Amino acid sequence: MAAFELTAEIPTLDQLKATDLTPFDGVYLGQPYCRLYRDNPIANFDQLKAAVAYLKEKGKKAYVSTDAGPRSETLPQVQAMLEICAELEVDGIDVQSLGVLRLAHRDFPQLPLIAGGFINLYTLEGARTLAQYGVKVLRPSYELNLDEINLIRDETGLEVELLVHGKFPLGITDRCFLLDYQEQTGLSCPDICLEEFWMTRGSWTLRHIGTALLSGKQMCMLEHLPHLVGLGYRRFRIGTLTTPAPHRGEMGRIYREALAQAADAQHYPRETLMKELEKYSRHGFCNGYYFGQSGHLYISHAEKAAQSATTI
Amino acid sequence: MTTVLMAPGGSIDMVRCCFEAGAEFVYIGPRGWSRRRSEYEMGDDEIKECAEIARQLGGQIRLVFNSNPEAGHSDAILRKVGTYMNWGINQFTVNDFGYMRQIKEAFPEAFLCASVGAHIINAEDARFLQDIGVEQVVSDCKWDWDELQALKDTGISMEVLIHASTCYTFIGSCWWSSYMEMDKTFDIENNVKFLGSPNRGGLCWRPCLEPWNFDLGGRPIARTRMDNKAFFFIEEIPRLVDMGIDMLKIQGREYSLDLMGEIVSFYRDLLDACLNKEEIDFAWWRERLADIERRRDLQRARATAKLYLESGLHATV
Repeated sequence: MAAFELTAEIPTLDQLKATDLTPFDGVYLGQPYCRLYRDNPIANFDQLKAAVAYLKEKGKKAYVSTDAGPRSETLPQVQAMLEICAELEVDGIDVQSLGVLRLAHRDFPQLPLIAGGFINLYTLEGARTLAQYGVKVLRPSYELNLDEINLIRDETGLEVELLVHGKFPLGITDRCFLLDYQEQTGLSCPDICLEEFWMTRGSWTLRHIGTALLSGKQMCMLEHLPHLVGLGYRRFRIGTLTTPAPHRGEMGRIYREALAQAADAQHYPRETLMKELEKYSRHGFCNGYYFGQSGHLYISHAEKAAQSATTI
Repeated sequence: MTTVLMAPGGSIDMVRCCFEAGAEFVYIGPRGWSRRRSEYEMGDDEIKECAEIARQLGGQIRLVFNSNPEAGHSDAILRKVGTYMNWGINQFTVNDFGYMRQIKEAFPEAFLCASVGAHIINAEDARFLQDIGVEQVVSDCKWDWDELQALKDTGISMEVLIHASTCYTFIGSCWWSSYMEMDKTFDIENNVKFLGSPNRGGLCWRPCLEPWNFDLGGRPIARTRMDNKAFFFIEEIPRLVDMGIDMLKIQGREYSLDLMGEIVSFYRDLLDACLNKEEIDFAWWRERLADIERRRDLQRARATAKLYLESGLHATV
């Protein structure tokens, strides 16, 4: 069986150094939702260089995030970052915009390109188009289900990276919502988004980080890892952008252990692993859209098995 | 090239009404392929009838394929486009960049516009689409003048929404609604619609318009709604015309026929005044708009309340 690749998202060099990277094969560097985020490597190139060097020293792959919603005025800075990434020979660029994809493909063809969740890949024809622009790895739209992702992967032969854990974005905007509340909180940019802001309504909880709204629940596919491995997926990502550094390492450790046992679906220790993971979730789990349902719902392995049995 | 006006065709009557009120173009969602519920879309027979109405009234139909129903639907969209091309309709607004490339390869004579849901927010995005054969892009609803100029400077044809909703997030890059509630449904022609996901042909439950508690680590900060205003441009229109924006679009297939007729007449008159270089008294135009705006807000509020009830989300709060 081919080796797995497990990656984490880490917003800054300080966070990188505070995280136990042992379970991870690579890291997505940077905070893609706001260039003003403190010490964001996608805007602060000294931090970027130091972070890439740190990862290389640790023997980890360095992937670099790009802006989720880049405006035209930002493009020269993105281009400058791509140039540095090419010099540093990073392992990949997470591209979230068709325009940045065009720039990267034209000017830095040596950079491996990963199509991120905001490039809005919804269709097989979309994947074929991205392949023409040099994309090697796809992360399809968050709203696609596993059947659709399988189809895209099988028909294009492109590698797919699956988000298997963590809060995921529900939408982005171009102005920071948190800045409307500087007076009430006594906080201002760039400190305000380092705090934990939540939106609640009845039983609903969402996380707000200023220019992006995140699911309050953690997407969790731990119980279903043997299924994903059985489908042939080998590349998994944990969404840990807002996760405290100690938890990030622990979550990685749990998933790494799970992957080591995922080939043996019968003896896969679901309950033990889930119990461990629950320590790091305050607002519960969901499966996102992988099973074709509303994004906030969680379907356990047992429920999924029961569904399959009924279908048969 | 002069700036033209495009209006919504949520029904055959609305198509006729909008042409008669002065729109040069009317857009229609082929059933199963647009960002609205099925009742505001049309089957092929109705589209054919609308093409005849357009011919009689000297207007043009644009068909909007601005949703992504299922990942592997590409043959179906080509068959649809081929049928419409045979009927003399060659204008299409498309959401998915894969479909754009595929349609252009199969039908080089088709005029393609990238929908607002395609999330085109910078000049390089526009150039990417030019590379794959797209002629026009719709600007997002959060543009500023510099961004609009940057898009325009690429040489691509531009469409700007002049009556629409800003949405809290970028249109096309939001799945807040489907996170909360999404159901796979089928319309009367058996097309898939993911109810709750506007990106996937269903509707948006508009959760951003509901009041939410906003807190900092458990400490209440505010009770708030997200910023999602429905807007009418007035002051911006002369500058859009001077910039050479090619098309001004009025959104609103779901509004009542009489209201839409008045909105189109209003903008026809305002656009003509701008094109004729008349002096624009904005206060007078705002006053003329006031009653239209009040009725639009009322219809929008009713629709939002109905959506929330229909979503079932009220039961969870």
